[in-house]
Amino acid sequence: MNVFQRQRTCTETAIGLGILLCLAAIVVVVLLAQRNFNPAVRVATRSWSAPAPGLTVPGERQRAQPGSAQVGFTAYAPAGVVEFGPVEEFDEDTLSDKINGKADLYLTSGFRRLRCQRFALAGGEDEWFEWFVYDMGTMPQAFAVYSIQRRPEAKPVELTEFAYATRNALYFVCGQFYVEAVAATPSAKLMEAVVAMARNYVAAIKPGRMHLAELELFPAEDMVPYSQTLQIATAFGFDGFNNIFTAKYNADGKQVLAYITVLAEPQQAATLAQDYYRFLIANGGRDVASADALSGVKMVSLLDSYEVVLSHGNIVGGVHAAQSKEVAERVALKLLKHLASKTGGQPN
Amino acid sequence: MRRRDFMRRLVKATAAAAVASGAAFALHKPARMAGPTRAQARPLPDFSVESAGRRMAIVTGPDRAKTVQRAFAALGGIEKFIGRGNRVLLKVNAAFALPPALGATTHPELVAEVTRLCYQAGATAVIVTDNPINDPQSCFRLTGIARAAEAAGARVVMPTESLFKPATLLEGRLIHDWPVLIGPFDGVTKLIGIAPVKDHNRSGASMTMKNWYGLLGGARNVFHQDIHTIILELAMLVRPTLVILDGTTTMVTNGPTGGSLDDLKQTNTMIVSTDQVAADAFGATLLGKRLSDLPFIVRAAAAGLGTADFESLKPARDSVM
Repeated sequence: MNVFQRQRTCTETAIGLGILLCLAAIVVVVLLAQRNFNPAVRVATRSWSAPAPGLTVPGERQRAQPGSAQVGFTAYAPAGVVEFGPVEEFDEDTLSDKINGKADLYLTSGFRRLRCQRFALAGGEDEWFEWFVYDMGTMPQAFAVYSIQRRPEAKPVELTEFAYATRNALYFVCGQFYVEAVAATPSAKLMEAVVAMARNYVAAIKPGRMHLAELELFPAEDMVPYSQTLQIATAFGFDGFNNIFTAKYNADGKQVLAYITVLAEPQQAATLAQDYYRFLIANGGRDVASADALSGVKMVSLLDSYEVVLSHGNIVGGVHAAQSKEVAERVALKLLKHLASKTGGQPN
Repeated sequence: MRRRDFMRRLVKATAAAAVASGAAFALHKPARMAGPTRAQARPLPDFSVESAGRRMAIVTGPDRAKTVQRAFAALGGIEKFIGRGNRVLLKVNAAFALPPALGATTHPELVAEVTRLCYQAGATAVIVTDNPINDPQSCFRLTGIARAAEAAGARVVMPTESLFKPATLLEGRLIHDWPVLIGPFDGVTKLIGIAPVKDHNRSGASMTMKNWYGLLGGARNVFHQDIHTIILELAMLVRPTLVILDGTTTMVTNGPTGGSLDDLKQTNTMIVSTDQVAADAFGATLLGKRLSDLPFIVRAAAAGLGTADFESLKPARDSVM
């Protein structure tokens, strides 16, 4: 008897449906995994296509053509500063060819393009600096890579709202651009030239006022100066935590990290806070009762540290990896009070 | 279904599968390779000196030339490792076109001093090479390595395409038909890796084992997604005579490129070791990291490539100001 002419049994139907469900589940898992695919892999595994005009070619490491100097930075160089190399350009495919292991930080923060060029003091070949301009797409994304790499001991510079200098380098945000100028030596004359070039650049770009309202949601008391950062994606290893602002606080001689993110609706904030709490528990965290003043706030003990998760209106916030429960509670309470004073309302 | 029909279908399906597999095998060409050369199963010889055993010297002091000299002396002299007529390859870290002051690359003074010591021990040739991330000419020039090496009598070999050959690490998972900078090893009898101690955004640290990454060609950035495995496999692939880990300054943040002098910490330490795992384990202490922060060290030790318990080697310690 031909098997295809036989009547289907209930068992066969059930097995067939089971297989189809398994396949559907696999598709969902693959799609979810692809959604969070690391951009560095996408870049590295992409087959090479013809480079955009003026871009360096990976592997061949070609310099930009002389004609591309017109898109360089010579126009901003002050008197006494001369070109010390051609303009180089890197896109998301080639960024690793310039900054290697740091590329991920930029690629996950909205990176579009890097242009860089070396300059030197006229007549001084050993006194040179390299000028890097990262186009990050938006000002907050430029702030993100600026803030994460900020050198804690560096001094602020009156250039833009977000600018600082070290002995041999200048770093600043200028609109959607994150700019680094790295000098070969800590020479005062070289750094004067770097700052002068930066002023010319800012005057030409005219970034306007750069304001991040989220930074004001952190209480100023006990905050470590210039410790605020923005993490664009997957903060604290949690896929749902995007656009997370952080700030460090001094507490009992130690530093504690507070964080916030602003969502569109209070319901979204409540859901995200719950999801993060579940994530912590799923990764070995243990629910801990918090102080009365923090009723409704979740506290989790995880790997000898304490996490606080709260939602307040459309804001999710908390404390990350505090070394003691008391400190975690104190900083969380301070954050909660400040949120209430800034936005009104009660915790969700 | 009749047995005859079943057998007929089975034969057809088997034939179709065999034809498809045969065609796939015939058409297979490693996509990463430029040429048709078959990968070498053992692409690099073992350069270690068996009689030297696992040794380590740790010398503190701010002057690289003095500390590396003293470290070799503590190990019984460089002659224990480099002999008359040896051709020595120095694998430096010239990854970035950055000045030596930023600590992102092997310091030129160290390259010059090791070259001088090799010749003093009777070496007939010293070759310096790396496959940098940035443009090689700019890297070797701006790091000062080319000028220092050549002034000391070494020959700098730039990574031209013809010097790469496909290589496979039989016991590995990632290094399979992958282009490796093998050309500069022609005729070489001793290998010394020289690397600075650096923080690294992906691997946690870049030291002597990560330094071999500069022997890889092709679109090697793909390995950053499994960075600890590739470092492990490189340590399996490369068996050096010695490694020199320069912790005179340590890049403690924003590695591997750094950029600011504020990323550096003066740690005044030079390590010379026949055990690259032990050298990196000690380097971790300069970075203020635990072994659990750097899985490639733990895995390399577990693979028998060396010991993460560097104290078990009873390192010779000295200081020179």
